[in-house]
Amino acid sequence: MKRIFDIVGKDISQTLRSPMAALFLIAMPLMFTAFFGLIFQGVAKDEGAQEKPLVAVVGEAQDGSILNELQTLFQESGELTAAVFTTDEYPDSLILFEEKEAVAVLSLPEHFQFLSQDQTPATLYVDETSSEGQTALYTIQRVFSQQQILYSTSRLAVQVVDEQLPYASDQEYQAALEQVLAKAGQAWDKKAVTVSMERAVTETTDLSRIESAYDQSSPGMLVQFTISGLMGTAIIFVQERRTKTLQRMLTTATSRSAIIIAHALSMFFIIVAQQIILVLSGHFLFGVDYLREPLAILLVIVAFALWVSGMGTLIGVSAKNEDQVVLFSLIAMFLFTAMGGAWFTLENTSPGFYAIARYTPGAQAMQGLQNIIVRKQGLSSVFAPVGMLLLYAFLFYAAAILIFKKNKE
Amino acid sequence: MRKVLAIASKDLLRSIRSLYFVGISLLAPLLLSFLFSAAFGGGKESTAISNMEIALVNQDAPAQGNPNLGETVLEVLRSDGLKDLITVHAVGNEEEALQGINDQDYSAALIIPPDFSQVVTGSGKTTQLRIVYDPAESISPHVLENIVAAIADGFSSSKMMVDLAVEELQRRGGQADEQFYTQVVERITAQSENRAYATSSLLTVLNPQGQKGETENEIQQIISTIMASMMIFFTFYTGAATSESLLQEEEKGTLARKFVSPTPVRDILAGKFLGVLITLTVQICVLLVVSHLVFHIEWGEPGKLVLAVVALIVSAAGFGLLLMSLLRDTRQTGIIFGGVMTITGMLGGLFTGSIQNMPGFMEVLKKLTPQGWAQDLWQLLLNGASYREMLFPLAVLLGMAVIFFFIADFRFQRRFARK
Repeated sequence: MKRIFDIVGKDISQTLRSPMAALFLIAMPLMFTAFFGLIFQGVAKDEGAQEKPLVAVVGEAQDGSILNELQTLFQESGELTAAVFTTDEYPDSLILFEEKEAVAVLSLPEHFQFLSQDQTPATLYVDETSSEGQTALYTIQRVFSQQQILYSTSRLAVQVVDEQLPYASDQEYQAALEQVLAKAGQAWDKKAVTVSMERAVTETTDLSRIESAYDQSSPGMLVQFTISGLMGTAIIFVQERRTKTLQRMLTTATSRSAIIIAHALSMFFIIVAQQIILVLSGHFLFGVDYLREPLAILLVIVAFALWVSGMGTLIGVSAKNEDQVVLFSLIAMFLFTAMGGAWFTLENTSPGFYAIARYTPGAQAMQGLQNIIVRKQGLSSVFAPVGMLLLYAFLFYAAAILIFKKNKE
Repeated sequence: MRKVLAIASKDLLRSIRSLYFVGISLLAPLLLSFLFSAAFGGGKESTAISNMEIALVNQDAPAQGNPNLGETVLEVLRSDGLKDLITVHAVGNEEEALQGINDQDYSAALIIPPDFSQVVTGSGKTTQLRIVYDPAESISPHVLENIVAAIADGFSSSKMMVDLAVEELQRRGGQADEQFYTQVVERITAQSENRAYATSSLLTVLNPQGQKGETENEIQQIISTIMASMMIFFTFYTGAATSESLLQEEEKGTLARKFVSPTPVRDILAGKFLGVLITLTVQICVLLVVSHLVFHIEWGEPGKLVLAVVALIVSAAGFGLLLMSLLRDTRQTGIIFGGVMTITGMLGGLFTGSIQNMPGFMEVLKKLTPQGWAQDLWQLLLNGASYREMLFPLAVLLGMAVIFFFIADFRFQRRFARK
């Protein structure tokens, strides 16, 4: 046992002596966390502070009432500003878009009205790839949908009444329709069925701590740089083989198993220490709510460290030289970080990618951390991801031991 | 000139024989682009937003003999029009739904309240459909909100229609009998059936180029931007890694052997510099061809592409040589590859290229790095900008490259002149 801890101590001091250790293990993840947190915070603030997108409503001069009605509805939505133009002013309404006068152009055909079903539809020119374009699109679709409901509901109500008690003339029918339409507009403000949105968090949660711009970037960078940090420790395996230190150790009473266990343990201790520093920094510097369930976070950290050290051991025993260690570590980092949802949330990804990615070790670690910091769940919520991480750790260690034992050097 | 070419070709051969070069310079940018392409559908597959798993808790308790309108909501959510977008799982109670959200089995749960049918069929009251969602998800809950709001509007309008029709009939002195209610219900049913596509019948959405189905373009644009960013990042990385051969040869003593041969220092440095340029050319050409074949990226007009490639190669080579000229030995290179390249790449916007509405400070920081100017230039290329629009970033990048080369050459000349 003493031999194992001697090797562990040697590995740790060898790793920490490198000037790169502090940079890769601590400084870079904190810098990236701050950077991405600031960016997402900045994006959110900028989106809030931005001027509302302008929509150009273009139609015939004689259709002024519907043009003005739409302008008012878009303004009242709170999402858009709107300006009315006539086809006399702009025969080619797309110029307004091309000259960046408006983010969207709504072109109405002659005599457009919501009451009529059989008519040429209005055309909305919008670039859906921009966030402003998407805002314009969804707002305009919502306004159209609501107007259509109001008009069709009023028309049907009057039609049913007309069948029961026919109106004396078209004028009377039209006047009744307008009256019902006005009532419908008022009734719509007190809709019978509305929709509410709630976050699935426990009732006891302190809601003031519920959102931090760093909730995604902090655990994400923790996962990324824990994986990339194994480079420094995995390289020790290769250096020992290259400098023949491994052969010298094998001539002593130290067994192959003791050597691999010692190297894995040193990696494990370094990774756990790194994660603890990152978690504490995340909590105190960036306001991420890690410490509401410290035991759960510790479980995730330990299980994740076991898997990462397992992978580091596998890379260490498989690589032929230092360059290969760097290469394999970088590939592992890209693969498990991207698939783990550390750079982007997996909810936006394609079904095939999502189905595979959600079960990768990086995703399990992210899930365990986010169950605590975002979903505000308790200790039991990390049992499943921790179990998965332990399974992965076992598989990676088993593969590493097999390769190491086969290695005749 | 023969000696210059010999040194350059030796460096090129050394690079392309190295698994490390192949991995970092070619495999890594392609792997990252592949991951992003797979994640965001690559223009062929829809995103996970099209496959939301939703729990539905129907607590609706209608009066005896009345239909359960909560079941109607379930039917609408399971209808053909929505089946590609959401999968609905009817669960027994709210606790079970919340547990499913906690276990990430569902993105959200829709809770239909006990008084739902009574409110819709009665008068005066209001009710709420509750959506409880996973706080770790940001987009899918709002997609569900839009769908449920449309369904809720349908019920609200049906109730409103009954109220309006009865009121209008009474205003005209009529009485709402059973036959009248039957007629109203028939109209409501007919209206509901027609409503699914009602909005599209009055509104056609086109992109400004007059094409439908912009999502594919959007994803392709994102992948192109990511590929360009990764190519720039790894080209600058390779520029520094290839330039490291000067330090390696110096440490191994092979550079000293070259100096004792009848070859001027200037020729040796020229050969080394040329080796870096040729290696980067090989790297970029392979990346451009493979990304075009695999990810179908259209890199733009050949003339403009050549200009952007040249600017990228010389700036990356110049930057790499400059950094190496500042170092004493290869033990210091780790900090360059890990630190300087990552930080300048980060400030240059290479990791955030596809994020819209970036904060203003990022635009300022971007202009301080060659990677930022390179990204601007390649983005213009991808956007089909004119030669005139590309001129400014191109000139800045080439200007930076000249300054980098000049300083690197000066420092190396002075350093090796002492040997």
